[in-house]
Amino acid sequence: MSVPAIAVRGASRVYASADRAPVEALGAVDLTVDRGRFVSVIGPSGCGKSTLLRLVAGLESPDTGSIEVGGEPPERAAAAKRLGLVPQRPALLPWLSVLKNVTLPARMNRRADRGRTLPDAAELLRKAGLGEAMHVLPGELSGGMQQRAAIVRAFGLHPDVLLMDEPFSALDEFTREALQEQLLDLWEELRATVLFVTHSISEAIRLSDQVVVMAARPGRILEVVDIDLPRPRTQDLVLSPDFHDYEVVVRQYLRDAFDHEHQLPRRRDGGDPR
Amino acid sequence: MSEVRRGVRLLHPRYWAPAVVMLLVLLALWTVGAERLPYLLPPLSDLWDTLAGDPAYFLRHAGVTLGEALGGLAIGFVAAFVLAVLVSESVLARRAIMPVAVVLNVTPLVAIAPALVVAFGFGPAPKLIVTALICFFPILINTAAGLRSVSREVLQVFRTVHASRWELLRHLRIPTALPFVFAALKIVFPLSIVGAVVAEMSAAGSDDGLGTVILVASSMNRLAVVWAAIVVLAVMGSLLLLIVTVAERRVLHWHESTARPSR
Ligand SMILES: Nc1ncnc2c1ncn2[C@@H]1O[C@H](COP(=O)(O)OP(=O)(O)OP(=O)(O)O)[C@@H](O)[C@H]1O
Ligand SMILES: [Mg+2]
Repeated sequence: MSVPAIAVRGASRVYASADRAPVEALGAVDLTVDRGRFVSVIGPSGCGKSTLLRLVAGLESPDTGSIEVGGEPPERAAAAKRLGLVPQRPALLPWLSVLKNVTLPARMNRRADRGRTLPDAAELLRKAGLGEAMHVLPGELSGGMQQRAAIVRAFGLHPDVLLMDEPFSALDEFTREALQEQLLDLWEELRATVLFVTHSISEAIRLSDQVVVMAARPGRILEVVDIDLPRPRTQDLVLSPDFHDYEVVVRQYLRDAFDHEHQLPRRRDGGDPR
Repeated sequence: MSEVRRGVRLLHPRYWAPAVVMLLVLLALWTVGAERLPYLLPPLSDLWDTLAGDPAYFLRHAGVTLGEALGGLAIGFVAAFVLAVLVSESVLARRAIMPVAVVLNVTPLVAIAPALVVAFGFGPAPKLIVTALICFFPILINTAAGLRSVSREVLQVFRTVHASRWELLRHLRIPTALPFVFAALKIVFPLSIVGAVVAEMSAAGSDDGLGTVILVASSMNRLAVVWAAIVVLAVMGSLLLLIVTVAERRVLHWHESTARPSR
């Protein structure tokens, strides 16, 4: 068997702070993602989805356990520029044109680019429907277009692993669906392994080969649901009975995740401190 | 909006009329004041005759003061910018530098001007030092805050491609800090003139600069000369501020602080 794209083994992460009890954001999580797969992570707020993503991105290290990306530590994968990140907000630089924003990662850490051919950024932008907007500043674009540019920026390095943290959560329903479609198009073409955090059940099912359902306190994986639906995932498919069945299944697991949480003593604080 | 249309709009009386009316009112008040309080205000005609009578004299002294102000500002800017980078990159540097900077800021710097004159004499050195010190703190604080204001998401995106510290500084932190730097410059350009003038006044033996002109003229009761020098200083300060503002518009055209309101 080939090396998995992402291998999380018994990884835990505890956040200690001076004035509160330590938070077990992740408690010994195991997850294996095969190469080229699209995997969504869904779960109640605070169950450690973003923490998992940060660990895989090498932005933080687990307290116990290990993480490997393509068989090596995430830091090494990052140093070789084999990781891409799309955060919740587009995080574009307002003083650079869309095209310059998209090509900026290529201008950093250049040593890692030796011997690689990168996709043509202008071509990718055109495919994402941003051909007209290429030389415009991000501030002049709609939220959906900005998020598209952020996705193209992440694909622009042709990463092996793409990590996306609720990239569409700030968008309206229609924009969201259009972007899902474009994301799948880009993914079909460039074939990265994707780990995609979302709060939307239908979004998770539509995009993914697998849906990972997590629960909180401590953050853990409750269930992994394989989505055996044909691709391309068209609008018709979304309305099909099969799709609906998956929604029912995932919703039930998600409800379990919430119930788990409420059996535990109530939190002292109201919300997520971040 | 295009530069040209903006320019045309500013020509409309709606934009300049209020300021002009205000100026006329002030000039009228001055005229009345000068009649009532001849020891405080010279008649406007005297002021005008003084300025128009020997413009070269005022220009020469203005040039000296401007040179000291800009020279001191440049020194203060470079020092503050370099330290701001250090402070934002290293916790150790922050802990070492910031307390000293804060103490420096609460020290009345104009009070050290006489001491500097004793140490460095009547040459340009004490003037440059006072001006640099006065300009230093606002630039340090603003720039350091700006360098640290890069959003967490942006940093995460570029850390996952392993951008170096230098690359983060050059491509993310410094451009993000620019609006803060310009805010500091708008404070510091007028301050630099204050610094230069105060230093000139403390060096009672120096013989040029508008501060010296004011000091000498007031000791001889030549009110018109005193006020002429003050007017020249005010015009100089306004021009500097105008230059910074125009530069800011050009450099930060992408930033919301330079976006024009829709009316
Ligand atoms: N830097 C941090 N310091 C302290 N606590 C943290 C930190 N980051 C996360 N946490 C805590 O860890 C837990 C998991 O956080 P995380 O952001 O991973 O959740 P999430 O599943 O992404 O939630 P959401 O759906 O709201 O984004 C939360 O309880 C959060 O308060
Ligand atoms: Mg999150």
